Amino acid sequence: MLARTVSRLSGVARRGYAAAAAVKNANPEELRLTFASPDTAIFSNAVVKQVDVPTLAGMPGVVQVTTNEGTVQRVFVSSGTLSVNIDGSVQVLAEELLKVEDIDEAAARAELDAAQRASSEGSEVARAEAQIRAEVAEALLKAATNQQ
Amino acid sequence: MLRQGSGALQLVASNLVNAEQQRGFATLKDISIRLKSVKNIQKITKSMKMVAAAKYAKAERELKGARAYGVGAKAFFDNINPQGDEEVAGKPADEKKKHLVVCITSDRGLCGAVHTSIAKEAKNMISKAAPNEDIRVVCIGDKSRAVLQRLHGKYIILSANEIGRQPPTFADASIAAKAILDAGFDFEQGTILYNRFKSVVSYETSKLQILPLEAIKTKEALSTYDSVDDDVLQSYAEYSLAQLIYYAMKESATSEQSSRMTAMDGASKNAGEMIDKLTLAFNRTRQAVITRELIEIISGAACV
Repeated sequence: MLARTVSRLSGVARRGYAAAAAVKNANPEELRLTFASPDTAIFSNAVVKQVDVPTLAGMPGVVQVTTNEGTVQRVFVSSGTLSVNIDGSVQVLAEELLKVEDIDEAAARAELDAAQRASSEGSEVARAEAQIRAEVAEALLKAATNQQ
Repeated sequence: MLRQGSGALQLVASNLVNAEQQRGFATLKDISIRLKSVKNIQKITKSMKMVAAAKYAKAERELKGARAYGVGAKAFFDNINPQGDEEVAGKPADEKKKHLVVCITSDRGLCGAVHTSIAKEAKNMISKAAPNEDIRVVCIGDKSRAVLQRLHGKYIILSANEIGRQPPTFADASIAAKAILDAGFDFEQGTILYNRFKSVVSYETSKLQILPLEAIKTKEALSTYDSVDDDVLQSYAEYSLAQLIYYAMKESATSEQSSRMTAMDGASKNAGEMIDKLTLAFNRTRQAVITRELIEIISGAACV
């Protein structure tokens, strides 16, 4: 899995930008994470140590958050956006998210089977949608099995 | 005296009152009919209040998550465009600036001034538009369309309904965002009008800036972002539009339910007052009828 690490902002150039911007933020040296889906927020402007995001191009996968206390939270996201701003804030906004430990493996497998069946029939749009569903289900399964 | 109690209320059935007046005092039935209808209205407003309260509680719970989401979505735009809309004004004057206004309301009324305040703001923006500004409006929810259609119908490029019965979902927002992007209006500046929820008794009609792809590209601050290419930026801009609309919908829905709760509470109270007055009038009339009958009997007996 392509892992891209957004670690604590450092380096003189970056610091310069952050100081220049200084948008209503007390400490741009901190990595402040907002991690939310449309109906739940796991982190809301919380200071964390590190955020690992699977890809830049919206593939489903596991986002891993390391808090300042060193605990690691793994959360599955279907798709979404990531932005890292010069004021030190990071937004990971997912369309759907699910904690890895809450993934129902059997349901994910059933979804994968159903999506794979559907991906061979229907219109082009329906097939493409089914393929995306299959991709998500596959990623879900991967996330669930990796955890154990 | 009895007409004092009920006179102001009976504007609609005035011919009926005249007919009754000719016969003198027989408004007893009128009053009881009216009393009954006001009682029924109160029942309805009371239950509407309860429903709104339940929906409000749910909406407010959901707003907590949605707010983190929406504020997060806004953060990028705040960073890239810290001055807000002032900066966009520095365009050559001969070129028409395309401005899109998205009004977030719902189909449902009886909720105070939430929808009218949005429509009013939109009207305001239209009337105060600079001569080189080309404003177009997107109405989400029947209420804003109903208000804007008659005088400002030519500005409306898109309207959507079937919102307000159920709490808004991200799917709703995606549909709206897609429709806006497909509408063929290449706006250079966008504003979402929504009611920001403050507390049960107050909301604030606010604006959210939306920056389309081209506008984002012109911002200097973009160079501070890492690994941005056209593809990523386009996906991001489109997805952000849905995110911001979703956030505005959530805020508006919560304000609407809280405002409906307040409005229906007021309506129930007013109905209660009316019922008190009508009951008083009813009892007085009844008393007058009894007294009159007694007088008739006694004076009849005295004659014998």
